[in-house]
Amino acid sequence: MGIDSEVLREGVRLTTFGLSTAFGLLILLMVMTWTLGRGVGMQERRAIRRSEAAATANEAASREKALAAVVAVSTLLGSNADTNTEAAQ
Amino acid sequence: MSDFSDFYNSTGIAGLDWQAGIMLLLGLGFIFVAVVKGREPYVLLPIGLGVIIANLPDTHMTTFVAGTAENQESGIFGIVLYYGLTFWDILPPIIFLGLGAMTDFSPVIANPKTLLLGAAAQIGIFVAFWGALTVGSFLDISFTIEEAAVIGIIGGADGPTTIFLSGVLAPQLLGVTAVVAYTYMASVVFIQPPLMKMLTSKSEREIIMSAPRDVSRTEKLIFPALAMITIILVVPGSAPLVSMFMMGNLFRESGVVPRLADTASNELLNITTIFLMVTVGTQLSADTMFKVDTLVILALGLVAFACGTMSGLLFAKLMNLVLKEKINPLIGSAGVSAVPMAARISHQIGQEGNPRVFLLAHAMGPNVAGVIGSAVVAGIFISLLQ
Repeated sequence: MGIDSEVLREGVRLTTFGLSTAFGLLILLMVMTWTLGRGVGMQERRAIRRSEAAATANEAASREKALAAVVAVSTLLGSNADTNTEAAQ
Repeated sequence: MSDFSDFYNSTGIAGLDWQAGIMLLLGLGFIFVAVVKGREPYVLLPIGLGVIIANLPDTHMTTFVAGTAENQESGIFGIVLYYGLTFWDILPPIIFLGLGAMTDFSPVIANPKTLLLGAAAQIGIFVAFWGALTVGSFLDISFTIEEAAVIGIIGGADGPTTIFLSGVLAPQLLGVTAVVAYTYMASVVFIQPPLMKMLTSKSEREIIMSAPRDVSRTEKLIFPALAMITIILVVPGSAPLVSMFMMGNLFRESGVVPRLADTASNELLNITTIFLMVTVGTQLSADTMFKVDTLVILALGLVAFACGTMSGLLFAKLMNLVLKEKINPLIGSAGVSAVPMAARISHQIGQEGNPRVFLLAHAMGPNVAGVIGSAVVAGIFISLLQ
């Protein structure tokens, strides 16, 4: 009957280490998971921004190419029209 | 007449006593509940069959004779018990590999706060641990500190962890503690709801939580590796369970080894479940069950389970005192592992009060955290007691 002092001491040691380690580890894991989420989130946002910038640059380049093509065709058409007018005269 | 008498004595009927008869009825009862009621069939059906095998006289299927050259002295379940659960203790880690391959950590990653609820629910383990240590002051029985740890771990509501710890620290309690753990896990639907309603107000149960964010593949890949390294560095005793759990999860999340993930979560898990559960059932022989100790373990298991549920709920309420975005305290009770039943109950109780409350995804967080938490506590017991 009763609880042996040696067992009592061992029980207190197990409870103290057990509970504090379980809480401590899971708190550490919580902080690490939160940091991981922030880090990956930032990385993803940066990647999105980079791909958006690349898309914008591509868009601008193709717009400039299209504009150049329009200018070239218009110039060509203009010179053809002049030649025809000259020929008609 | 003497020929007939010799024949009769050679049959199992001659060796059958009333205690074995009751155990056979118990085994049939488990099978009935599994087949007819559909409750925990993967656990109760093989355990029921194991109980029947163990209590039929003269089968020798649970016998194990070490170092013998004689044929047929050891029975199949004696061999599985010895090599699978006491000498090597490899079956629970294999189950953890399969569980890892079936687990989705997204709820935990999306809401890391839920890890705290998984830790809080482990308090039940220590309540039952102290109950087992001090029971000798009231009754004429006593448990060693190793046995008290094994009884306490029932409160983790995690079958493979309970079996693993029993195999390491107190193999003599293996059958009883495993069956008690699985019985209470199957009974969460009766044990938890009254406690949940008692400890939470109607307005708390109606707290609506916003949908968890999407979790990227990178996070799902890094989390198990990070958790495995961190936990094992601090608690090496938890390595057999935690490493296998995280390994199974990495098989799943990597997406590059679908056959391994599939095998771990199906064939390997199923084969191991057959041997593990039937062997656990064979540990429930009449001489083990008809003891006061067994009734005390049953009672302490219930205390552990109830205290785990209550501490999870109360810790969630405590967190609400400091959190800006409140959590529904009902998800706290899911910290006692019992995946996924405990999470489902949180969701159901939430829906009873307000059909717009959807807690399943949120409750899976503490549920999975509870599995990690109980494996950590088991590892601490092993590290400090072995």
